[in-house]
Amino acid sequence: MKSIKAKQIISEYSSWLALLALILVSAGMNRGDFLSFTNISNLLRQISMLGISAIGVNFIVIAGCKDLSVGGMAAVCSMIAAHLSGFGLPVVLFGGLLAAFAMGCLNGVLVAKLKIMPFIATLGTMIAYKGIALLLNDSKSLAAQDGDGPFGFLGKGIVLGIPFPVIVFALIAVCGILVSKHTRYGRAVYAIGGNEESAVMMGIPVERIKMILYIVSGLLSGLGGIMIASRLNAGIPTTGDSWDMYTIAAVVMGGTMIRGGEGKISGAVAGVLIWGVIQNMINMMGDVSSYWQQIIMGLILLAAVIIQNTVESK
Amino acid sequence: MGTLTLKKGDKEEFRSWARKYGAIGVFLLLCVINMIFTRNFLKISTVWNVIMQMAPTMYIAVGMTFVIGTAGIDLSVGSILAFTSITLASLLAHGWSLLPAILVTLVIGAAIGCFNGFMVNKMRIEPIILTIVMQMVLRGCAIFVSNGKSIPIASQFLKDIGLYRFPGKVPVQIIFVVLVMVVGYFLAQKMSLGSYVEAIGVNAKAAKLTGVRFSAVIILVYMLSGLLASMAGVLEVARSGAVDPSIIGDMYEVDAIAAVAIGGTSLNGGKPNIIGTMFGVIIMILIKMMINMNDIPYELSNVVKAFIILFSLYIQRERKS
Amino acid sequence: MGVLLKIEGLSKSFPGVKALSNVSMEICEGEVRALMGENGAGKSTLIKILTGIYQREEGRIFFAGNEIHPQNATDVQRLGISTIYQEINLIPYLSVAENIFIGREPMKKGRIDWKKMYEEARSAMQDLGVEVDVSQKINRLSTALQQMVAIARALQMEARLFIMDEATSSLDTQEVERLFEVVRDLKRRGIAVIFVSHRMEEIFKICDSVTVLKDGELVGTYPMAEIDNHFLISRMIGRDALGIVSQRRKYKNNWDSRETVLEIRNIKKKSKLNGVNLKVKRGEILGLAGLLGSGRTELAKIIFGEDPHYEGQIFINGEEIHNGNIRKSIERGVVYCPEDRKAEGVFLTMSVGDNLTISVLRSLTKLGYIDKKRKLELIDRYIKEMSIKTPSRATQIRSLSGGNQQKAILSRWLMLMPKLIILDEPTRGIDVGAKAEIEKTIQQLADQGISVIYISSEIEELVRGCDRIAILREGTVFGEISGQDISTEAVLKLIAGQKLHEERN
Repeated sequence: MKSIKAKQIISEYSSWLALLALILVSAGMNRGDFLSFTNISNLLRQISMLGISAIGVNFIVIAGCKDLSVGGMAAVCSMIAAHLSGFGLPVVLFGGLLAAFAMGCLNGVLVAKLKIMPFIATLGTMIAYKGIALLLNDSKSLAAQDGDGPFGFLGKGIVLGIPFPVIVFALIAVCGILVSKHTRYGRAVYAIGGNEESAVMMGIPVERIKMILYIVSGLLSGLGGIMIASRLNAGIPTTGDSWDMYTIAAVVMGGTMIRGGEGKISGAVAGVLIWGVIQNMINMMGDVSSYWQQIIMGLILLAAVIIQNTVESK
Repeated sequence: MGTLTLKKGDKEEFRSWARKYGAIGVFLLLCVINMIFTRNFLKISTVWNVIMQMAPTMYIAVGMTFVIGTAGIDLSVGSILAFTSITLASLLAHGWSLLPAILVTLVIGAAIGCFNGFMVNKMRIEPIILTIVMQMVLRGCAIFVSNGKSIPIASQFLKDIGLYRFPGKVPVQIIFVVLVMVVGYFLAQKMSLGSYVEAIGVNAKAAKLTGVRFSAVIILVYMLSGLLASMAGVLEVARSGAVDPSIIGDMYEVDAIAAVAIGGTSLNGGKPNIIGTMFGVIIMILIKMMINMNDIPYELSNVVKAFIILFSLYIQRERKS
Repeated sequence: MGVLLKIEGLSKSFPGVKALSNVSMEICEGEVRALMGENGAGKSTLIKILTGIYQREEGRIFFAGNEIHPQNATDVQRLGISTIYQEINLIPYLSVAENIFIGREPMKKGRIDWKKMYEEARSAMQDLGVEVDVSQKINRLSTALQQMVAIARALQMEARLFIMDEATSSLDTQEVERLFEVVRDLKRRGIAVIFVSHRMEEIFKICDSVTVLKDGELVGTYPMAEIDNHFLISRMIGRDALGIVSQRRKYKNNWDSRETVLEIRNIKKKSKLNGVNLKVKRGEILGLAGLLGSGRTELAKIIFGEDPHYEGQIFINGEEIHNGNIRKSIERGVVYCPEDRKAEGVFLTMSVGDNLTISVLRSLTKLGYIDKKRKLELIDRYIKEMSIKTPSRATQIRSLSGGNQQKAILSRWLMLMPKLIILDEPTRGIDVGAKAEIEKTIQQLADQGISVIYISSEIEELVRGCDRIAILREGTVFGEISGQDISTEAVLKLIAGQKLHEERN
C-alpha cells in the first residue's frame, strides 16, 4: 500500500520534482551564480510573458482543444503597443487588448461555432496573425516611446524587489488555479475535455465556454506581447515566434494530457519554470553551448513525455 | 424491411463533394482571378515557375498526406529538411562525392522517420507532441553540425543539375515532382497502403482486429514522411548557393499541412487524397505568386493564405457521426 | 395515478421517408412502458423528438399537464425527462460526485462546496442501493455502476420520466436485476419509465405495458399481463419469426468422430480466468454462457491472439500455438467478430465495400497493387448472399441499419474462409428480423463445416442455436450441456452455480 501511495504522490508532483532536480543541478554547476537574486529575477522575468500565455493554453488543452496562434497574437499586440506607446498606458492597454479580444474571438468562432478542428483552425489564424504583425510596420521593428513612463513599467518595473511581469504572472496563475478547482466554469472545462458529447448532453454550454477560453487565451497572449514590447522598448514582429511549440511543451511537461480532460493549471507554471531554468542553465554555460539549447530542451521534453506515457499506461 | 436510406441533407452531400473536389474549385477560382488581374500570368513560364516553387512543399505534403491519413501529424518535417540539407552540405564540403552523399542524406531522413514512427507506435507517444519535440531537437542538431554558420555548397555539379532546364525552359524538377505525385497517387489509390492508412485513421482499434499490419503501416508512413523531407532537403541544397541552418525549412510543415487540409484529407484520419494535396500545394504557390506579381506587400500573402485555408476548412467540415 | 406524458398525433418526415405517422400514446405516473418495434419502426425518432434532438412536424406533446416544445437535451432535462443509454454519457476522468453534479455543483461563498457535494453524492448512490467511493473517477467503475451514476444524476435533477434506451445491453444478469430493483423503486416514487429493448424476457419481467410501432405507425398499446411473446412479435413484424430452433441437434450425434479444431488447456489470466479447458470440433456450434465478467470476451481475445498475456496451452488443429498474434490467427483460420461493433468493428466513414474487404485485401493484391475487378466481384457476391441491404457498394457503412452493419462485419470475417469463428454478442442491438437471419446464417456455417464459438448473454438465443453450451463461472468452465440436455432452465441453473445433478444425501 505504501508504495502505491508513494507512486501516486510522485506522479502527481513529478513536474515539481523535476524542477527541483534541475534547480539543484544548476545551482551545483554554477555555485553561487545561479541562486543569486539577479539571476533568478531575470529568469523569472524572461519566462513570465510565455507563462501568462501558457496559462491560457493550459485551459484550452484541458478542454481538448489547441491554440497554435498564441505567438501570432502576442506579435500583433506587441506591434500595436509600440504604435500606441506615445499615447500613454491606458491607450496601449485598450488598443492592444481590444485587438487581442478580436483575435481570440475569431479563434473562438472558428472552433466553437463553426466547429473546425482546433489544430488546423488555429494554425490558419496563426499564419494570419503573424502576417498581420509583419504588415503593421513593413516587417520591421518599431521603437516604442514612453519607455520610462507607465508603459515602460509594464515590462521593466519592479515592485518590492520583484519584477512587475512576475507579479502579473503569479496573479494570473493563482486566478487560473482557483478557477480550475473551485468554479463551475472551471470544472466544466474538464468535462468538455473528458467527453464533449456527454458534456453537451449534461447541459454544459460547451460553445460558450470554448468561446470564452479562446478569448481569454487571446487576452493573455496579447498581454504577454504588450509586456514584451515594453521590456524591449520596441515592437518586434517576430515576437512569440515559437510560442505555439513552447506553450504546448510547457503544458505537457507540467502534467496536462494532450488529449484533454485531465491536468493542472499549476502544471503550466511548473512547465514554464522548467523551461526557464534550462534556458538559464544553458546561457550560463557560455556561447558555444547555445547551440545545444534546442537539443537539450527537446531531449528533456522527450524524456518527460515518455515518462508520462509509461506512468499513464500502468 | 427496406433500408431507411434517409437522404442526408444537401449540406452533407455538398460537403462530401467539397472534400473530394473543393481544392480543384479553389484552384480554378485563383486561376481565373489571376488571369484577370495579373499581367503575364498566362505565359508558359508561369507554369514552370510554379513547378519550381512547389517542388519541396509538394514532396513534404505527399508524405504528410499519408501521416495525416492515419490520424497522425508530423511537425518535424521542416527540421528534418534542415538537418538533412546541412548534412549533405557538410559532406560535400568535406569532399564526399555527390551520389554517396545524397544517398546517405536520404537514408538519414528515412531513419529519422522510422524513429518517429517507432515512438508513435511502440512508445505510444502522441504524434503532435513527439514531432514538436523532434522539430526542436533536429533544428538544434542542424545548428550544431554547422556550428551555427551557413555552409556554401561545394558541388558545382549539383548546383548545375538543380537549376538545369531542358530546351524550352522546362525545369528538370518537373521529372521529380511528377514522379513523386504519381507514386503517391498509386500508393494511396491503387495499392493496399491507401486502404490500410484509411482504416487505421478511421478506427485504429478495429484495424488491429482485422489483421492490418498496424505497426508496419505506421512506421512506414512516418518513414516516408522523413524520406520525402530529406528529398526536399536535397532539392533545396541543389538550388541554393548556401544553406543556413537556422532558416532553411522553417515553417514548411505549415504549408504542407495546409495543403493537405485544403486538399480534403480529413485531419481526423481517413482516405489520403493525393490529388487534393497536389492542388492544395499549387494553391499555396499561386497565392504567393499572385501577391508577388501584383506588387502587393508580401506580408499580406500570409493573411490571404490563412483566409483560404480557413475557408476550405469551413466548406469541408465533417458532420460528427 | 395521473397521466404524466401524453403524445397526440405525432408525425415526422425526412426526405423520402415518413418516420412517424400520427402516433399517440399516454403514460401514467409510475408506469413502466415498453416501446417496441423493428429497426426503422420509429422508436428512435419518437425518442429523439421527446428529447429535443428532432423537431416534430405535427402533433402535440403534454408533460405533467403542460404542453411542451422540447428544443434540446438540456431543455428536456430541466423539464424532468432524462435518458439513460447503453453507452455511458458521462465524463470518464471526473469523479462520481462530479458527474452527478457537474453544472450544478453546490456552492458556498462563491466557491464549490466539495464537502457537501461528496456527501450528497454518497447519499444519492446509497438511495440506489450502491456503496461506492464518490471521489473515484468513474472510468474505474463497471458499466452497470456507471449507469447507476447516470440515474443518480437524473434523480438529482428531479426527473419524472426516464427513457431507458437499450440500457441493459451491456449488463449481465445480476446487474440487470439490480437495475430492475431501481426501476421498481422509481415506480413507487411515481416516476414513469419508457423502456426500449429488444430482449423479450426483460420486457415481460419489468414492464407494465407495451407500445408497438411498425413502419412509423402505432400498432397498439397493450398491458403485458394480457399478451405473450408470439403476440408481441407478430404485432411487430407481422409474422411469427421466433428464430429457428436448431434442427441439427436432433441428428448430429457423431461429434466424437470429428476432428478437434480448437483445444484449450488450463488457460489462466490474472484475476479473470482460472483454468479453462475446452474443445471445439469441426462444424460444431459451441455456446459460451455466463455472467458478464465471467471472462468470456477475455477468453475469446486470448484464443484470437489479441491478448498475449496468459498461461496455458492452445492447440489449433492439433498444433500448439505460442506467441499468438492476430495476423497469425487469421492465417490459421481463427477469426473473432467483436462485441462492440461501433468501437471495434465498423469503419464508420468507409464504404460498405471497403469495410467488407479490409481483411482479405492482402489476397486481393499482387505486389501491393489491388485487383479492383476481383475486389468488386467479391463485394457483390457477399452483399447478395448475406442479404445486406445497402443502396450501393460505395455507401458509407454508417448509413446502414445495425442489422445490416452486423451482417457486413460478419461477411468480412467469412470472406477469410475461417475454420473457427468466434462471435461475441452478434445480435446485440439488432431487430428481430435481422436477428433471425443471422441465426440462420450461423446454422448454415456450421453445416458447411465451420466451427463457431457463440458468446451471448441471451440464453434463449444460445438454447435455440447451439450444439453444446459451456457455462463460464468464476473463471472456469462450470459445466457443459449438449444435445437433448440443452434447455433454458439448465443453463440458468448452471450460471447460478447449481450443479445439474445434485448429490443428495
